[in-house]
Amino acid sequence: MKQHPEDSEILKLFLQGASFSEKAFNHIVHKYGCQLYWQIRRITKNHEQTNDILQNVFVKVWLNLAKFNEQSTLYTWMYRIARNETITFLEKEKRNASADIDDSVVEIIAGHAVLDTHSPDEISELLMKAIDQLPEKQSQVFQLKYFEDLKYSEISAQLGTSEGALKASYFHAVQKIQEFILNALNH
Amino acid sequence: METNKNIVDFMKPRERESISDDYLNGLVSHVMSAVKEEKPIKIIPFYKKTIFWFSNVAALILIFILIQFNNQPTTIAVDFNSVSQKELLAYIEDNIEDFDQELLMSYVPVKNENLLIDQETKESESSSSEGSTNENKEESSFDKNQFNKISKEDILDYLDEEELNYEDLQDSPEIF
Repeated sequence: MKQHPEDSEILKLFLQGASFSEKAFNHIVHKYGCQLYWQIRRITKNHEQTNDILQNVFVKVWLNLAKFNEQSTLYTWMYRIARNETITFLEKEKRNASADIDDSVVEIIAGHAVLDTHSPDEISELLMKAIDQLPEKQSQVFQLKYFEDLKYSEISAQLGTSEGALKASYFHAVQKIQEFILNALNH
Repeated sequence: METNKNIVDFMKPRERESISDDYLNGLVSHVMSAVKEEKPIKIIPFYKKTIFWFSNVAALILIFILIQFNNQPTTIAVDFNSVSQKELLAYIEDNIEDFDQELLMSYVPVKNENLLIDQETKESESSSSEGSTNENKEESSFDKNQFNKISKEDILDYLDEEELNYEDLQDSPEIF
């Protein structure tokens, strides 16, 4: 994994303007682009749409970064932009649903009586709905831990939350997801 | 069925393709060009430029013509023979303030000069002393009184000095 400057350093660099801003922006894209890409793609299930949305997200990031007030972390700020942008985009594109749909987000490991009777696509859709129902912090923690496989220390740096609080958030997220899926499958 | 395990433990995230640096670099350049398109530099199209310059040149020519027109002395050919003297005098009287008095005087025949001066002084006197006509009357009466106060001897001395003949002056009723 490439080492990127701290968010505070990136922001300072960005505020210097001109080529410094472009350099800072380059750091942001390389540091968070991958996570944001998959955050969007898990919902769109399509690269083209993900690509369009991600471009819009980063255009907004560029245009508004100077006004970023650091009340949240940079990642959380961009996570919100990406989420809103994805919802808006999909609302607009409802009619033009793409035929090129990704495979399911998850594979099913045999051994669970309920899951074994359903397809991975069904479970993946339920999982994404369950994630969407979670509070923002729990949703972020779950996605970063479960899909991105980040360590708690890395998530802590990214979200500005202690590791203990992150573990608690993850635990609650998993409980809620289980409850949601079982309820959806009438169990 | 394992009861201690959570449902999430039976779901494994599917392996996904990695995002290459090339993709991210391309993303940066796409975003930068999109941002520059969003805030384009205002470029005046060529046709607008020509109209702009034509209108500027036309305005300059118009201003130049107006300046030239204003600077030229407005010479109006007047056939003075067709204008009566009465009309001329009436015009001069109406617009006397516009004329240079010294210039006027140079054109007035010497014979009439005194008349003009007299008229001028009368006018100026009348205008300046309209409110003070009483004052003037007082002054003239004052002069006569003053004259009366002068003794006959003084008058005779004065006449001697001036080498004037007393008998000649006796006929003048203004003095005696």
